Amino acid sequence: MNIGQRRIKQTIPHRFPILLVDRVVEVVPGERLRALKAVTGAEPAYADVAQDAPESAYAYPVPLLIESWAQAAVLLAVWETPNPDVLAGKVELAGAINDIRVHAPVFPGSMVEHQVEIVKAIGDTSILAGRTLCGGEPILEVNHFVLALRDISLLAGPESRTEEAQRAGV
Amino acid sequence: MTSGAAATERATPTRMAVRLTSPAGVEPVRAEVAVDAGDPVFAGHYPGFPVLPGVYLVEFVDQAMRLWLDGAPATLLVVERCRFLRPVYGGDTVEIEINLSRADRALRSSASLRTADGAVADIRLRHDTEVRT
Repeated sequence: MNIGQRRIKQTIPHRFPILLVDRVVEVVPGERLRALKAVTGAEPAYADVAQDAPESAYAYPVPLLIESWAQAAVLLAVWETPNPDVLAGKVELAGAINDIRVHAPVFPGSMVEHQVEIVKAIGDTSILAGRTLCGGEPILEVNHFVLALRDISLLAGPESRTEEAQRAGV
Repeated sequence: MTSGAAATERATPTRMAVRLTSPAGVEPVRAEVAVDAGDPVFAGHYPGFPVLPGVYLVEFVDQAMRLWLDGAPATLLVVERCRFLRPVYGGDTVEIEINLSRADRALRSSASLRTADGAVADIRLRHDTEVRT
């Protein structure tokens, strides 16, 4: 199985520069999913790293690795009920992430594989778990991720700030 | 990049920068960060509904810990818990209060994050504070 950006973008609302899943290589809807992400020095996270920074400065930021895994989890949770546009439907909100273990850093040039399993799904809330591997070795373990889909109309929303941002020309 | 692109010490998801608001060495640690509505991440998270990715709050607590440690080694080993209570939007200021506890070489941080609208997240991290080879 080899599912690329088109189906991924038809399924979840995340977009550049924070769409952090490159390819889905296995999906059993309602059960499990495996996805790949290539880490590259061309990512925005590396844009301003100092010229004389040590090699360790190039460890891929753990929050982005977690985000990437979580996007694989969202893909699994909504695989059969795609939600590519939050304005047209529901917004994916992480309710909680507990017990994430970071085993090793990854660097540009690495291909990581996210593995996600659904532990439980109740209505619009899913509990997922899994891990991330690099070269067959575990680099991240996620033991408890609670994902909630919420109707966008229930959120206060960023409208006022967005208007300010538009006035400011950003 | 939205900033003047000063060099960073390490790869980071964002140029939004945490600053400490409590004196060095004092606990609890207090810090704050202004959430820049112009940050590039909002274009993709999500189109038409810009909301800060929850993991950015983990980054902010990690940044606050690194500032507080003032260059001492710190490797993020465990995210014990993140409870996201309310979305954070561009223009918000996130205030962070962190209580610390220590066990051997591990430093545990228990952070409460809030904006003017109220509590937004509780985050507990564990850092290794010895140099890794």
